[in-house]
Amino acid sequence: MDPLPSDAFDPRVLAQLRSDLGLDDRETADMVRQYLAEAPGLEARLVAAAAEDNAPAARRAAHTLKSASAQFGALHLAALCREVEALAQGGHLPEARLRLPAVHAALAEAEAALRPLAGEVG
Amino acid sequence: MRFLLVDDSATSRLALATALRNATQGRAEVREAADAKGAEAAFAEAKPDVVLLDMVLDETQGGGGLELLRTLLAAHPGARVILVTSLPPGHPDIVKALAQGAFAHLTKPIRTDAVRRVLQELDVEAGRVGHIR
Repeated sequence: MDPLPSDAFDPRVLAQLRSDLGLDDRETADMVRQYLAEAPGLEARLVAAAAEDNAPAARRAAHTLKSASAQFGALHLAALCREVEALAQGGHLPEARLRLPAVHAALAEAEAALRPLAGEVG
Repeated sequence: MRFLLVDDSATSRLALATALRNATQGRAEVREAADAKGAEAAFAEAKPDVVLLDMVLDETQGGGGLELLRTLLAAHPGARVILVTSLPPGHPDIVKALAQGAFAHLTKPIRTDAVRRVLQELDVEAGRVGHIR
């Protein structure tokens, strides 16, 4: 059964990505695996940059995680990253740091939703 | 057809490479770089026909996207550079990049039909890549 839309993961967005790129099942699984491999590192870069008061690096990491997450349907995570990106761009790193636990939780939810689509067991 | 993809996200590079291969029926030769330093080295080695350039790069690794655009076009005035960005059309950075010599821009998330359209504009898909230097 196909997963239902949720805040953590909207499968309709991934279906749109498949259609937009003309992906078959194997290519879709490859893309999801690539995202699952990359996203934790992006979060780690974001956390490290925020801890070091490096607003440009925090903005870049949030931007990249936002873009990747949005195209896979991890919409809650993408929305949080968009907030963090805007806060970092405005130099408001203390406020950005307050959102990092929510980013971490949203990433965990997105990973749990996407792993089955990559052929991985959660 | 030789392409150089410059994007700090491996996921975005994979999406773009897939779109390029589908848009060219598998005829695309794709090189990748994650930052400006890597892009300059890959460009010198591979002499790509087209560079697809994300505008948000790690500025500590040789500069951001706009800076790399200027560097590439200064060193290779005939280079064809297509911006790839999640910024909205008309954003000042896009306008600036187009004014500096970028050929076109693609909006993320990438669509194969949009890639195909830009390639047609470049004559690449028609196999006339030799005219594009």
